[in-house]
Amino acid sequence: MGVTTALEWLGSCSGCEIAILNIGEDLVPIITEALDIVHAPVLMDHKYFGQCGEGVTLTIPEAVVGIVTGGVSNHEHLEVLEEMRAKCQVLIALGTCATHGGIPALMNGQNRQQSWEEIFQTITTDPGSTIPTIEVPAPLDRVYACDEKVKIDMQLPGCPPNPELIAEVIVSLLEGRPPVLPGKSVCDTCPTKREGKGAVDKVKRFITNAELTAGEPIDQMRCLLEQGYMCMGPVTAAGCAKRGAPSCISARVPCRGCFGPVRKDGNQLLDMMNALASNGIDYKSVVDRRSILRFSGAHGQLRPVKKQVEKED
Amino acid sequence: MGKVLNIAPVSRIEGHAKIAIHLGDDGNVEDAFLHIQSLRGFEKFIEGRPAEEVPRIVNRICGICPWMHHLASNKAVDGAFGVTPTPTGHKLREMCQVMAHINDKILHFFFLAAPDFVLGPNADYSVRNVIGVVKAAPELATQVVKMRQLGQMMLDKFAGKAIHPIAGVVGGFAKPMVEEERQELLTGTRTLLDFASFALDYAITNVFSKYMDAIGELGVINTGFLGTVDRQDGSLRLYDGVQRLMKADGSFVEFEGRDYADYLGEHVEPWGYSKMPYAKSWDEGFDMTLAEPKGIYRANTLARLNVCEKISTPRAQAALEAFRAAFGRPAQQTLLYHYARLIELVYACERTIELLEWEGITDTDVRAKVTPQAGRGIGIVEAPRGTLIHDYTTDDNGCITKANLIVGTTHNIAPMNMSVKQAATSLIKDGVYNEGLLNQVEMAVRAYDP
Amino acid sequence: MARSNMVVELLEDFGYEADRFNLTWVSSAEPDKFVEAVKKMTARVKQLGPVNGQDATVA
Repeated sequence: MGVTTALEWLGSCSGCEIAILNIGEDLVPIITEALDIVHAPVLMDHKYFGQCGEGVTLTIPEAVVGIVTGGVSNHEHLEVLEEMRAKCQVLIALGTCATHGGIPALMNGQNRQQSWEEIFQTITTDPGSTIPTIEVPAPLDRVYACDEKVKIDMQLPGCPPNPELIAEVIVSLLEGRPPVLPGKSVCDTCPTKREGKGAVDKVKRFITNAELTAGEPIDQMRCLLEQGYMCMGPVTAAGCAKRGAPSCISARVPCRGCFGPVRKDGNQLLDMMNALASNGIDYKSVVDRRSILRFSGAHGQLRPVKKQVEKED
Repeated sequence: MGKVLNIAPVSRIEGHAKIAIHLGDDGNVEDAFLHIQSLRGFEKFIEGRPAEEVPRIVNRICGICPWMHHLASNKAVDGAFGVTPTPTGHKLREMCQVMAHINDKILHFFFLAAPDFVLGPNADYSVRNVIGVVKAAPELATQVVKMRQLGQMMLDKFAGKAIHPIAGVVGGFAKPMVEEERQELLTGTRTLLDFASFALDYAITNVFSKYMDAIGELGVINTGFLGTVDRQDGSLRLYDGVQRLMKADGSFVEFEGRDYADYLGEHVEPWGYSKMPYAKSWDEGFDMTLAEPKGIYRANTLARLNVCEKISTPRAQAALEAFRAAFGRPAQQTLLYHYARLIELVYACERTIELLEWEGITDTDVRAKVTPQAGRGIGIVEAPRGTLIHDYTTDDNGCITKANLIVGTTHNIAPMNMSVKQAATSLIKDGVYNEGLLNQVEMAVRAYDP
Repeated sequence: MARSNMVVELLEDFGYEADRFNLTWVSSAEPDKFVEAVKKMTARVKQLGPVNGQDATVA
């Protein structure tokens, strides 16, 4: 019998689950022999309230390993996460939503109540519609990363996480050793040519393609930041690199920070502003600076904009 | 005293949902619901973002079909910025989109739906899953895993990321394709086409023929259909075309994407976060009554095959003809979504090859000149789960001021509720129910691949 | 000055009121000006209230 394992998804898109499947053929022995999956809504039919739905308490079986994806944005997510923590010996937060809030935590930069009301008042929505409240889980005040709510034993960010690293985490757990994970920034794994920043004093929007020659290897292309594009490689944790280059860079597209900050508690916006300022690049040339926090808006980093208060005198 | 059975979570689907079956004192079904449990708010938190960034934000709506959101979004931004992608940029996007359909269909049929058919709807839950399939049919399973991986890795290698893609950009595509890549993709896709043909034959022989009774009964409802077809000849289209809205009697109207709000409305019930699109242009309102539904149409594979005149590629066309000969047009049987899915799998492979064989595909002019500006754009593609609509308005700086999204799955929320009710009512009588019967209710949902 | 402008803008990016930051130039010969600046800032922060408005306990 393999190691009992439970999988759960909270406020997620299932991209992490697809990343697990993208381990490919190596996944077959893992899920059929090494692991004994006891609960996983995406793959199997274990139910919360008994197989005939007659129970009243949400129950997940005990497991040695628990893997959760997605952030915590409503009361059901919280209940599921707490049950996972209670039943699993080792709890892994997989993917940037679970570790840093991810894209759904962009909502933390908005007034949630007002936003939700407006979602039910679009041009195609029936007039008079209001936010559903019956039989649906009530929202929390904001989107949380998993470690803000329960103790997490291991964090593996990425949007999506790298299948090779997911396999490494699982295999290392089975072998009882610490996983070998990259600890540096995206830039440290990027093979593009660096020649110094030259005359760049502003960053530009990605509305023109990078300068490149078709078919030329990636190490012949100049660093996108040096080409003047806003690229978040310097302030983003490494881990996305496959086939010798960071994923987005290999498509000749600048990094947007999907693995979260280099240090777990880092702040991508502050770090990026520092990086730009220390290179003499005008921070004001960044359109929509707040979206630099698009992957790491939990932990209180992204908040609604406060209006200027009236001067008291 | 009646009771409520809470089937939660609905499993082997892509999202978060639960089924609640309300039993009366006599043990018969009084009502049944599919409650959609999750709301994230993409429409609002993309406001203020530079529009060219949005295609790489909204792909996170769905990790199974991120290419669909990525490209519908790119098309909407093209519209708002008033730019037409270069011919090669346009075709590279379509190639990625159609290729993403290949992986999606393999995933859904074999990983999520197949356990019900291969192991049987009444098999114990501990084996009624993909792991059970691997153990029961190891050769088939190994082949399926290999083929899915081949498709995913082809896309991943060419476009940098298969999940949450970034290579589509306003104005076209981020990088050109070189001859070596083209040859590699062609070889891979030809292998996938052979597999797709095998998968269709396998399913017809081993699945659909054995479950004809279930196909004729489970979750069957009577609705209209929505899909996208070629402007000229009405053939099936996934990336670009005109929208066709068909009534249950087979009559239809066509509309351009920019007019979508004249034809489609979204109904809201207080018991689920998902809105329920309906055919506003039918002027009959919204009603999910099984006997006489109003405004209800379905999307996704079966809908697309029902609305199209034909399929432009030979193997898929032959399969469509056999399908129509057996089930008519429009076919209403819910489980036929699986059959239609495999026909589309064949089409997606054939279409990818067509695109790769187009001589202009390796042209280096992949992105048109782009200037951020104020405007409005509506981008539509056929996602695996249905017609996907992104509608953006931008300000002078090219940042989003307003967005409206109608996501593929939502078209089928009302129909899924109806299918759940139909299945529960016919399967549960006099208080007799068990795990196998309840799983069959879920199968009615799974067919829609939500 | 450029840096203090950046601080103000970044405070707003992070969802804090820009008024929580103020820069006043005071020479060692201007005690009254110093006292005035501190009083003003204290009053302003009191009016703004606690910063953690969004971190309230779960409803």
